[in-house]
Amino acid sequence: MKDPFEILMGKIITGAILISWLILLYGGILYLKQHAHEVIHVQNFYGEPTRLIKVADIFHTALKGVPDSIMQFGLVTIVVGQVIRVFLTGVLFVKQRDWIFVALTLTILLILIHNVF
Amino acid sequence: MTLISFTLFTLILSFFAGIIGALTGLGGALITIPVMVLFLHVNIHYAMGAGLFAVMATSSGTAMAYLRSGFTNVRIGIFLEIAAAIGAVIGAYVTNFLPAHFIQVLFGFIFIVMSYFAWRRHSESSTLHTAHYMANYLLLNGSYPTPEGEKIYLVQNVWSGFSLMGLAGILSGLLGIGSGTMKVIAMDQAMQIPYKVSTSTSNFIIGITAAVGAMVFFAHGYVDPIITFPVVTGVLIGALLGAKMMPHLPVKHLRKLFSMLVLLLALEMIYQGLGGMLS
Repeated sequence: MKDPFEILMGKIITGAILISWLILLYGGILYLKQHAHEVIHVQNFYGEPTRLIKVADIFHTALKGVPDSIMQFGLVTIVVGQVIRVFLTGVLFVKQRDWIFVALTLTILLILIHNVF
Repeated sequence: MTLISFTLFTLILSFFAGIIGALTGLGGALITIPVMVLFLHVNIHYAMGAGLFAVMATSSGTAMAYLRSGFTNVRIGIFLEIAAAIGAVIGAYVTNFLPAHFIQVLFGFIFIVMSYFAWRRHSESSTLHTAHYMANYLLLNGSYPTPEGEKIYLVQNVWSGFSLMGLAGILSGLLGIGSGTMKVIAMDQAMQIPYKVSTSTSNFIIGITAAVGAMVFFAHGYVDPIITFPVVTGVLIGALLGAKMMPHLPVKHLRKLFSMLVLLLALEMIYQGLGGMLS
């Protein structure tokens, strides 16, 4: 009745967020080690520095080992995980040769990719 | 407040938000945003950015358990996500013409009514013998596990559900919140899908809707890693646990929890909307 591929999809989606979280956790622990007892200011909105906004900059600074860039990179991978989810759903419907749903999923994928990249 | 105490407090809060998000299909941002803004005095933009990630974490964290146990109906999810995506595009467009605060108050009152309906409805044992013609055509009907074994359900009012989902998309495009709530309401109330199937399927698609807006949030500088880190961590652990608990909890209690949360959201929207209208 249920397609076994759905179970595999679930494993990949949840597995992906756990990997993202490990990246986030690594950056978070590094950052906490340095700043744990500092007073933080979260009340006013300052926006983020460029190195935490543009994906290319996030990636480069994360590679250099900047703790909050590593965290931000982990967050970017969470978004990528959602794109993977839609892609896998598309594969599920291709496997079932259900072309209406392949078209529907493709539409969502295009909207998502248009907004994400 | 020092970073370590902020992180610990947010972690605990988000853990409970994750459990509740997994159980109700609402994503958890509904709880983290107001608590962070009101009690931790986090700026609303940062709280919303973190909220978006709370939704994605819940959605992905519950995917494995809900797909394996057979509650999630991927077909219904994808069909409705189309409406939500179209709605989100419309919402982002009309936000230039419509007073957002007025809409917030309007939907606040609509959600109060929805909360009442969700509270009142308790019968799951459907006496329906036919499904909506679109549900047959798109093969949306399915089955789900119950304590008495696998049960078949027939989907009703497909177009009402689709329209409500479009509205959910407009809401999320316009206000950035409330789409998970409308999703569960569309499936549960309009399409008369079993409650646990509705919440699991909502959990499957809210991550997609959130991802559509995520990069805009990044570009505006709303995503702060230091604030978002404990939120994602707490919510994810909570969601993994919540997904394990859900199959064993009675629908009656889950529905009451959902109803109370919708009421909370309604009051939050009216409060924010009125505040914005008066200022």
